Amino acid sequence: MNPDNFEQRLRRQPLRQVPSAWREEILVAADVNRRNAPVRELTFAATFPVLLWRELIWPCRRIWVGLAPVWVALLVFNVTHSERGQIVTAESKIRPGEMRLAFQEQQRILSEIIGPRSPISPAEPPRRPNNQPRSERRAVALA
Amino acid sequence: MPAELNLGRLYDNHAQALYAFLLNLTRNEDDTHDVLQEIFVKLARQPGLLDGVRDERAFLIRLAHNAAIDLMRRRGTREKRQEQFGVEAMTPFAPTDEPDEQSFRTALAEALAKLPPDQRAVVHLKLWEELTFEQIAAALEISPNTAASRYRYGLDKLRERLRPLYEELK
Repeated sequence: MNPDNFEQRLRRQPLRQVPSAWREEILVAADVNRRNAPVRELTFAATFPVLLWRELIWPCRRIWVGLAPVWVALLVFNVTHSERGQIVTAESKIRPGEMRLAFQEQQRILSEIIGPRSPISPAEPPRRPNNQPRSERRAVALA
Repeated sequence: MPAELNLGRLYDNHAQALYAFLLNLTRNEDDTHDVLQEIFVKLARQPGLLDGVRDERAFLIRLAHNAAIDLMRRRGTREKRQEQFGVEAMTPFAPTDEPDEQSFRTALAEALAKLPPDQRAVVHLKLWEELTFEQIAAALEISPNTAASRYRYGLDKLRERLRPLYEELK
């Protein structure tokens, strides 16, 4: 079968004509709706939820309904899990006195190992930039 | 403020193409009427919808396609019932008195009905609207490569299903 001939044969099949009575019916219905349409221009904020519902939620409503129990289960699990976490944190708190003693003990062991700390020497002040011309600096050095 | 929309002109220019396209998708004249009316009501209610649209035909085909797909989803159960009880679907081709030609058109309509709707839409727009793959891609919001592959797959299936009859009538 030659594909070109086949395609040409299909193309030649005449399509059914739109019933002539439909024109008036459809245009009248459209006109009635135009007159009944609200004059106010809808803002994006007003149409966005409708658009979201019509384009995203409604076409896949079975999937959304199927996912809803999973989300609820996750939410319940999350809430119960986070409450338990707070309890554990509260129980594991160490009293401040004990922590201070432990820190002092740690400092003592550290000083035994690495010796006493050397006194901190003051930092040298930054050198002032020499603004003298290079030729004068050489003369000073030679003198 | 959008310019006054001339619905009569839009209807005269595009209704025939939309009607044939919708009838090929829905196979039901009442559904086709409903979708066609829905499109024109939408245009009447939102006159700015066509502002900045370069290709009116492609835009209207996109509206028609989306509305038809929504309708078919909503009425999926009814279609299954129709198939179950053998309710005759409306063919998109004009009837003829010539028996061979009529049997070919009937077979072609049946073969088209067996194609998935996405392939059927592309085949229709390519064969009977004579759109390019770029135009089809723009109308159906798919890539030109996808449009071309859907057309190829669809045409191969039609060729396979119509081969015996086509060879006989040739």
